[in-house]
Amino acid sequence: MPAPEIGLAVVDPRRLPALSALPVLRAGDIAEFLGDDAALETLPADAAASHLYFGSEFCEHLFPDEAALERAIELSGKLGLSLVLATPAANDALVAKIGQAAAILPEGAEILVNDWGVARFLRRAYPRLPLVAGRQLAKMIKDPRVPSAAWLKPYPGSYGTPGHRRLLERLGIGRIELDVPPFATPDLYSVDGIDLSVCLPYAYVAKGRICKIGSLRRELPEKFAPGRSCHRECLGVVEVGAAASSAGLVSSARGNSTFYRHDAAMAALVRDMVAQGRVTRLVFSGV
Amino acid sequence: MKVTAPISRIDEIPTLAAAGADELYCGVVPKEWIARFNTGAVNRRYFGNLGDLEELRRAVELAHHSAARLFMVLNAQSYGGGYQDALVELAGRFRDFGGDAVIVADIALIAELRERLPDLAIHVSSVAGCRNSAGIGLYRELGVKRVILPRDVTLDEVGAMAQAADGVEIEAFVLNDGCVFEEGSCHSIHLPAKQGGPICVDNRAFVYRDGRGGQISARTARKLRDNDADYQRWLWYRFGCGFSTTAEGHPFGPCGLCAISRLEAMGVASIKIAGREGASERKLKSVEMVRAVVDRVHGGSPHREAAAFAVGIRNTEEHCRAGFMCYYPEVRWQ
Repeated sequence: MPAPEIGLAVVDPRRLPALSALPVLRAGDIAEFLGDDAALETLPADAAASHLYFGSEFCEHLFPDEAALERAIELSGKLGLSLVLATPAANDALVAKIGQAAAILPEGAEILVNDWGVARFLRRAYPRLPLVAGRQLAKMIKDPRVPSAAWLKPYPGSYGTPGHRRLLERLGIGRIELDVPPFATPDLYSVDGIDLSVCLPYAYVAKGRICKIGSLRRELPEKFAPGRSCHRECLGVVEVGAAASSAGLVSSARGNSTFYRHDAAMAALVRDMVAQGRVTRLVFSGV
Repeated sequence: MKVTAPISRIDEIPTLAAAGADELYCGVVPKEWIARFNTGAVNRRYFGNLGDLEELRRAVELAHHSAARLFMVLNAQSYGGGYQDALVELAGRFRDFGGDAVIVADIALIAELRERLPDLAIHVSSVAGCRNSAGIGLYRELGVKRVILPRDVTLDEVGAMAQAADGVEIEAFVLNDGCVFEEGSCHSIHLPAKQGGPICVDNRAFVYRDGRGGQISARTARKLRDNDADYQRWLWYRFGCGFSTTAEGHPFGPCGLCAISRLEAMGVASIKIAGREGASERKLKSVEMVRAVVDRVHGGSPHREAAAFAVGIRNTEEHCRAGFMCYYPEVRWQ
């Protein structure tokens, strides 16, 4: 099969040092880093990673500060990886921070955007930076509980229309990233004229700004309100699902996002899409 | 500042307009659509829609007769390519009936409608999740008239976006919509109750583990349990306090009445009452509450006075004090 690019996504800056002793980042190293041999079983252990993703696609409070970003820049340079700065939906204050971060990104870095406004801002302010449209912009039903493919039919993936492709061109977006939802079919990954990444081995459904665990250390009146800072409690605690859905998927949650591991059919679809050359980058992450 | 309210039946139009709604919005699921696509998914709601195009035509007529404007929702997060022509055709019929604007979330559909129906006003749905001034700028370039902000924004954020809107009208939530999942982020679906219902009720069974899958300490577990209890209480408020009302029929649930004065001062063009699928009485009482506060504000009441009046309408200050029923809890904190 054609060799895809390989990315490792890291959200928690405290995990970066675990990679710093490596001379290069190979698939086997990613499996060890994630503590998940099965996630990369389809790749040769010596396949080399090409990209380091850093930051959160789902939460405004996990956007890295300058020091953490500088460590990620240094690490990606040392490992010979292209850095991809992940960004979530943003208010005006975060858009400004994203702009400051964009200004220090090295040549070859990309920004993963999950907000059309952020994309427009970056295209105008930093036209040199390649943009990747993230999973939050790829509208589709990813509910782990759907009992059959029929539930997905009314709202198919959003990138199937010419209008979306024109929008991506207008914003200078050359790559899109997709999840693998239950009952996904190859047509979801038939997007002409644009590079395609798939995130694995988990699919995510983000709730939004209200975060239960992010309110853990807040006093009662200020809990569960938008825009309040948190102590990033989600980096240390996960809600592990106790039961499978009718589709056989066990959904867990971290912070404001629900996630579930791909089943055998979903993993097989990814392999097929890579083999056919439709998916050209695989982005691996832990829970 | 306009009061914008939902309808699901045309007999609600004169009643809500008389109660103070300046603008109304509706969905429609034409029989021809179901026959053609074998689905009722014309917008984000399967229920609470007008049943055919003749009803839609009469709704426009009745709204205008009642001195109100009528908008139609085409607000699914996205539609596949097979639906685009039918959506433009439906929007064109609405325009021909005299409809005032369509409410759209799918950014590609917005561009398509602007190109093919340039004289039809477009409002960006809250489902689009536009949360910053740059986003409003993008939608301005696409030729929209209004952006409806998502539900979970702060007043400071509303103010910043309103200031940068540069001719685009801003609409903000004021009553009734309370899902846990923000529509612009959510990729789930409302299933029948026996298959789990809406995912947003958050009733999934789970156990807490540390980031590596290990056990958490007893102390942390205790804190998490307490936080979960608070969260369950918040969920009760988020879902309309069990969809309850005062003895006078005023609905509880997510509310921004005390922020109306501030929203007006920021230049917000309209405030949105959610709940197309709700009962007619709930919609009527909602409009009455919002109109009463807006009239106070338009009459010159200062912020604090208008907020105190708003809190007094339901005569249940304990709910307001809890802070969990608020779209804009910072009003109470300030």
